[in-house]
Amino acid sequence: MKYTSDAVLIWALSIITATLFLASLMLGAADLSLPQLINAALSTQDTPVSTVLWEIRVPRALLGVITGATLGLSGAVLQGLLRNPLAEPGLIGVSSSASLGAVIAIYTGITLTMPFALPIFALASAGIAAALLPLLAGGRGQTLTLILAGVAISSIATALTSLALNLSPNPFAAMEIVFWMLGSLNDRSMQHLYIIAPFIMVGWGLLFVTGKGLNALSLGEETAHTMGVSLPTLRFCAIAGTAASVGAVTAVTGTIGFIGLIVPHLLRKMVDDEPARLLLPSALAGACLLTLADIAVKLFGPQSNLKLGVLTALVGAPFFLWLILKQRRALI
Amino acid sequence: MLLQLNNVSANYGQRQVLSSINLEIGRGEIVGLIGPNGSGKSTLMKALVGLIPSCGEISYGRQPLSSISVKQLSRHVAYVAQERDVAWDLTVERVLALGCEAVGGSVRTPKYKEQRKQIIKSLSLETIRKSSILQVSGGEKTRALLGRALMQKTPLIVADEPTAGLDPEHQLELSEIFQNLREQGTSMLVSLHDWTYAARLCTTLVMLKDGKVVACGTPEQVLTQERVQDVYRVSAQIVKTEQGPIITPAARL
Repeated sequence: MKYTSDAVLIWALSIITATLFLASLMLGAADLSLPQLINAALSTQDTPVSTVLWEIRVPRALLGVITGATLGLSGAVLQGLLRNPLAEPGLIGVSSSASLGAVIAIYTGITLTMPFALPIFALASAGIAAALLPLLAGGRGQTLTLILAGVAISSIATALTSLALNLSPNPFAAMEIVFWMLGSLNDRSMQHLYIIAPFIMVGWGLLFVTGKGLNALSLGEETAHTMGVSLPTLRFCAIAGTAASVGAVTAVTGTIGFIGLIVPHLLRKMVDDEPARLLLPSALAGACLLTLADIAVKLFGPQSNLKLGVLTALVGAPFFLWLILKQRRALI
Repeated sequence: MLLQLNNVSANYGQRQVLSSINLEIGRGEIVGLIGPNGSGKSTLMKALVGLIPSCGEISYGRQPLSSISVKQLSRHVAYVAQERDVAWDLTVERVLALGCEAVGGSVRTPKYKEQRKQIIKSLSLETIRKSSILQVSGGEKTRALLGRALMQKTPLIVADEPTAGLDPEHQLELSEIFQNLREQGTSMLVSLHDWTYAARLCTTLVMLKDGKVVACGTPEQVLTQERVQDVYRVSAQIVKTEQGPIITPAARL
């Protein structure tokens, strides 16, 4: 029964994701009809429509799907690992460290001479944070020390980012830093996707293998150990997977919050609270939600200058509040 | 021998919590660990399933614990922790399934379904099998988590205070389950505080004090007036009956 309901959920989310992906390709400064889109996709000649499609629309829509899936998946894994429904990818400090790397690239002006210095700096910075995390958390890497280490890394990265803003050489650099930090899928190319693709693939691979271990971890760390789960390996897969994938997407899109927190909440009851069964649906729902948010940004138009990260936070925060109130009512 | 401990010691920081423990558990034995709070019962259990580092030799069969992977360990021993902390709203039936999946079993096989049915029946979990583990009583949760350990089908079960939170009826029920398991060749190592219960359930008792074994043998050999006074610092009243001794604490010394 549960396998049938899981299959239905996964199929439904896949179809919604595909539909939203298509809608995202059609929408933009100049809306494209479906026949136009198909013609441009199949055309071997360089037409303005095919250029718009392959240079602008496809990278943006793909990045939306990949980013949403990464945030949803890593949120579900971290909530399972830390046995805490409030965990989200930002908690381990990788997102804020990736932001710091990007800010350093903008601050030093290196992005002017090397266009791809920004994602590379951000990725390197996320990697350093991920390497620091187990060192700070200690050998046995208990849940609480892991959270505290993440919070410490995040705080340091945020403080240094603020310092960079504070000491920014000119207002334009400061503005660029702020806009980048608000998160966006705008003006990203296929090259950005090529840079992050290996990290995403490795990250997703590591995150998806955690399922069985996370199920056992539902019963506590000690019990999970005696159920054949190597906790150090599980922690490594979850942390390294999050660092690689979330670090990579943050390096290209900037900070996009709330997706990783909310998506697992939305789906948990549909998979009977089982951490392993939550992973794939969370990835798909994350992709749906972020693509939907990006479509909303497009609909507001370029003149509104609304950033994706701002929209997800504006919609996500009240939604999260509603979830808390709902949970509170259930407890009374 | 299923489990052998040879000169096992363990420390928490500078403090030695286990000192030169020697113990053997054979097939079909129920070994009870007794001793006052802080005597090292839980620490010993954790050490022998590799949850805390220890010195000395711990071996399953003839294989040293250090050479056994956690995956292999889950086939040698199932452990019921003292903390009955479940993070998510899983059903009792699903918790049992996790035990089967831990040792590579599939919940879709008829063998699994039969095994689950038997365990649900023997632990009286029929009425709560579809209930959330977070919403059942403490005793029901204990039984469900024990059921999960039984699903691992290991030759040895280590249970830290399995009777905690159980009413008398379910304590006796648990005792029957342990006896049935013993008849089928499964061995158990359980920590207990109730002397009468321990004396009636266990084939061997190991009494610990300050991380050391002070007595090991049959319940009659271990639970003597003098030893209880010495280890627990209470006087005990021991009444011998046909069903076994009734041992109750009488007064603090």
